[in-house]
Amino acid sequence: MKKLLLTTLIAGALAGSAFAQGTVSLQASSAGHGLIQYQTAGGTTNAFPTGSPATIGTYGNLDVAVYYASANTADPITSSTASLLPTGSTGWTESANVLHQIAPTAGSTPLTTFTLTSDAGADSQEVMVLAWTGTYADWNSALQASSSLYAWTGRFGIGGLDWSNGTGAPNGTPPVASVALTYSATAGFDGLVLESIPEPTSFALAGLGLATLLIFRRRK
Amino acid sequence: MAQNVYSLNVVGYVNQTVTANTWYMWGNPLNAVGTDNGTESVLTNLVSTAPSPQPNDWANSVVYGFVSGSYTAGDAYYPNYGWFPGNVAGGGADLTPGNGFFFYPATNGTVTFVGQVTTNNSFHLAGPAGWSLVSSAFPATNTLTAMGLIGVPNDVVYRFNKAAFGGYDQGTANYPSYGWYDGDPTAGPGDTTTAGPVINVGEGIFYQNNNATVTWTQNFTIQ
Repeated sequence: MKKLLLTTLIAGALAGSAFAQGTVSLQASSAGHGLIQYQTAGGTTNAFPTGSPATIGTYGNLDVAVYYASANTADPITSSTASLLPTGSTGWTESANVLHQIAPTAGSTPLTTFTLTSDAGADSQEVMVLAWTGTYADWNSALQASSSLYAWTGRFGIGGLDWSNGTGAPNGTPPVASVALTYSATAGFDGLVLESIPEPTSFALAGLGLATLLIFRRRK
Repeated sequence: MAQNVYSLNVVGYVNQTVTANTWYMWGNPLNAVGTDNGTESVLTNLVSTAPSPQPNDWANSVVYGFVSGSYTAGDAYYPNYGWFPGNVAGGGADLTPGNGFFFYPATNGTVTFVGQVTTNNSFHLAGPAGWSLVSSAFPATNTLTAMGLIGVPNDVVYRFNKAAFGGYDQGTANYPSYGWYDGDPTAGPGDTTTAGPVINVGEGIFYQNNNATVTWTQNFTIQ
């Protein structure tokens, strides 16, 4: 009888593994934490308005995705610089679904489960949360177009650039509920502020202006 | 001429004590009549153990339903707002008695289910190799067979072990010419403990149906 039980359980496990995938969840944002915001050209920070999809004028709709990779995969993004992400089996993969909704209040994310298709589930993955606006399918496409608002965890020192996170296994034996993304001000997800990324020429002009100001003050 | 009016409706309440940041696999034991049994209708009597309990103590609590083999996107408790989506039509979990769900409270406290006793219910169990998260619709502690889950050989039932997230017991399988075998060391010829484990009031269980889709029914009489 025990042999039959074992056979039954193993058969169930194998049936589940054929569709193995991991899941992580974005927690509900609460006042002051985990909010989705955006910064206008004037530098004012506002809560992203509610909507499904949520949109900002000509920038279009909001896209929030989880990117994941195996442990210790290099992340070229820094707290101040956005970069294209290496893809493929040794790089970063976008979650199967992308969040476009802000609800129930401005800046709040609804509880959202992201499916990590190439993850076996019920294990650990290196993850980060990236956001952009427009109809681009992924981060790299949006970044190359250079016409969106962008945000990533770790920007402005809010949250971690990437971190190790457990995953759920909806096709496990038995199914395991999704695991919430680590919610931390320094080493997980604690909200995003979308902004346009200054062009290199803008950086140069800003530097020139600063140098001029310093020279002017010294002469005074 | 005045007519006598009889009512067979029985209402009651069930308290569940919870610990913060702990997963619970539950079923709603009482029907919130007149509602869709969404989170905003069922999980309304929440009292934390804080010195001055406030509804916002429950902010970031989470509920996941399980429908057609997949978890729902989840309902979350927002401060100064409540449950969102909160209702079934909006994509929230359906907590109708008989359905199981996961609950993750953000605070220590007590959840009180209030509503009408359900005496008749059907478990629609998709198969083959289908998963269903179910619970007894009737608020009583019963074995699997007593709660209507007769079982077919090769079906397996899992109870949640909240000591570790993602942990379940070893499973109770159903065997030909035997019934539910739940690891009883004395199982074998003459063993009569084939009714399966005793499921607590308001406890959810995962049912793996390895046969054709089937419907089991519950019929209880209130005396």
